[in-house]
Parts: sequence; structure tokens; C-alpha cells
Amino acid sequence: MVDTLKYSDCAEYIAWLINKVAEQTGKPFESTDIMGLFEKTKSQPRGGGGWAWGWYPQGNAMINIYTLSYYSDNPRGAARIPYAYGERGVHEVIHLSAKGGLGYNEAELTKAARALEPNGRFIDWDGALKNHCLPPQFR
Amino acid sequence: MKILFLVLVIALPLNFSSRQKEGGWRGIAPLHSTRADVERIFGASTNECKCIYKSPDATIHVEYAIDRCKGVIPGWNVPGDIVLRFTVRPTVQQNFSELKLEIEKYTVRRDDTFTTYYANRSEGIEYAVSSDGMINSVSYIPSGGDYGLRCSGFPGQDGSVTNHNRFDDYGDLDFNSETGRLDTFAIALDRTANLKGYIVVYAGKVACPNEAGSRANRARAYLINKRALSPTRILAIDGGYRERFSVELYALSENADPPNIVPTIAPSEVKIVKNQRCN
Repeated sequence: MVDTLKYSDCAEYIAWLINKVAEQTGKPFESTDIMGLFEKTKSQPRGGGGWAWGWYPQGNAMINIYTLSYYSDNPRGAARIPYAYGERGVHEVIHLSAKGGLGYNEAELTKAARALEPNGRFIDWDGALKNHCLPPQFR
Repeated sequence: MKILFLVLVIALPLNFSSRQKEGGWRGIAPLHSTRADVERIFGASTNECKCIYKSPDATIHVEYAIDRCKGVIPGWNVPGDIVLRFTVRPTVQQNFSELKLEIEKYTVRRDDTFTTYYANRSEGIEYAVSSDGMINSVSYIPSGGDYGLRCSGFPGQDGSVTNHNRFDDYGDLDFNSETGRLDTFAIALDRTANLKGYIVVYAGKVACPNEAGSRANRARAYLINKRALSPTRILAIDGGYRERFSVELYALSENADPPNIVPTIAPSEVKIVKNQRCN
């Protein structure tokens, strides 16, 4: 996730996205610092490691990232997996960036991403996130 | 009296019953209402996108057509600034179960935040319900009676409702790189016997002849021949055209409906070429 956030304008884009979805939904955000939120999620009593659920005050915020597999006879599959995990982790933590924890769903984030980039050629916000956070060969 | 009325408006949850929907919501109807109609009711939007409106009891997010067949839900033959879809977020949340809807008439999808989306295409409505059962928002989408307004070259169903979550998606990768993505897909299918794999390919704005179909079939052949998946479990679908070439993979239970096909540009806008990339 740290490497994912370092790619291009990924971290800056995420801050814009979270600001936009908070503005559009009227639901304030907890933070735009994804690693800070991730640390907070990890320290939750029932934290774990693709979905997001829970609230910080209740101590039950968590993300879950499904495992991805590859065949040993094809290294192409393995090369992408760290990037996919990084992007998925960032994706799930963004869902937990609303004030208190879980707050921004897929539909809300897609609307925010479209507002940020009206001419962006993506189907949903995850496509926009990949454009900003992953090298082209791993999008 | 005015004060009492205002208090009642704020305290009571919005009525999202289907009956109200039949005439649109507060007089706004997708594919029929204009920006001027919306602004007459809610005033001009002060938001940067000129698409968010506030009323005492709700926030309304309106998505307008950009031009004929263009917009966030592509393929509707209406001019620019016509409402394509709008989403109402009530100030006072209501419990979804209080609506007493006939759930069997709705397609149900859950996203990765445990928000559940209940959509009824014929009525043109989709409810987003939070994990605590409260209505987060209600989207009004083109309804079944409007399918005569579809642009030529677009499928009857639009992309206003997502019926399944994708397993993966990617762009125009070289075949070696694509096999890495297909391998991950193959393992997921292999681990669960009752899943069916769908490969949906959209060719780009500049495309080779039959590009989407041939790329979908190539991916299917890889899964069958190299990864020994049963041919009956893998379906290849030519999705039409989008601004950019794209592939979507779905792993769905055997009895699930196929994924919605959502091209974003009409075949008439596509330039067909024959070059090295087509070989």
C-alpha cells in the first residue's frame, strides 16, 4: 500500500476524492491519510485483512482483502499480485475514510470520481483509482 | 403555522413508495425532465458540477445527458441537459423494511461496504440500503416504458444498474500479460465448482474487425486449453464498443443472470482499421 500511494499522484488524488465525496454526500471524512487510517484499522480489536466494514469509535473497523493466486508455470500472474493487493487495500481503506469509519459506498465514490474528472474514461471509481495509483501494465 | 409545517417536513421521512415514482419524484423524471425543470423546483445548483441541489429534507444529485446518446448512462436518445438519473439522499433516514416492497421484483446486489442495492428496472428505481437497514439513497433511473428512446447500436438495457460485481477488469494488455490475469481468474473458478466465468470484451473507438469477439474467444480458449476449465463454464461475450478497449471478468453462480453489457459508444462512431495490432 505504501508503494501504491507513492505512485504518480495517487496520494494527492485520493485526498481530492475523499474531499469530493464528503462534499457531495454531506458526510464528513475522518482523514485523507490512507496509511494513518490503515494503522488505525489494524489496531482495531477485531481487525483483519475485498471488503470494508465497521466504525472507529466502536473499535470494529476492518478491511478484508481476498487472496489472489497464480500458476507457478506463469510468472506474469505473480508479478501483478503485489500491486493488486496494494490497490485493493487503498480502495477498502477509502471506504472507511468517512468520519467515524464506514461511510462512502461504491456508488457515492463513483459519483465523486466522475465529478473530479468529468471526461475521465472509467466505468467506476475503482477504474479512476487504478489510473492514478497503478503503473499501466498492472491496471 | 409555517414553523409547524417546516418541523413536520424535517421530521418525517421522505416517501419513496413506487406509487409516487410513477409520476417521477416531485415532478422530476429521468429522460423527460430538463435542467430548467430541476432548477425551477430546487433553484440553481451552486456546486462546481452544477448537479447537486439541496432541499430541507434531501440532497439531490442529478446526472444530465451531455448530448444525444452521451452521458454517464450512455445510449439514450435525448438532448443535452435532460435528466438521465438522479439520486435523492434523505436528511432523515428511513428503514428500508418500512417500505414493504415486493423484494422478488428487485434485482439485489451488495457492494464491498455491505451496502445493498435493490433495483427495479421496469419502475426505474434503485434503493441503496446501508448495512443497518436504513435507506442511504434512492436513485431514479430510466424506466421500462422508455426503452423506445434507446439510441441505435446500444442494447436495450442501459448501464444504470450494475447487476454483478466484477472479478477483474483490464485494458489492452499484450497476450502474455493477459494470461496472468486469466490465471488468477481460472484459479478462482477452479476452486468453486458451481461458478461460471464470463469474459466480456469491449473494442475501442479505433478497432480491428471483430476485435471484441476474437479477443474474448482467445481468452476463453486459453482458460479451456491451458487451464483445463470446462467449455460449458466459460462464456465469451462481444460487448460492443467503448472509448477504450477493455475486458471485464465475472465469476458468477451458475443460475445467475449474465452480466449487463454496457457499451459506451455506438458502432457508427467506431473506426475499423486493419493494421499490425490486428494480427
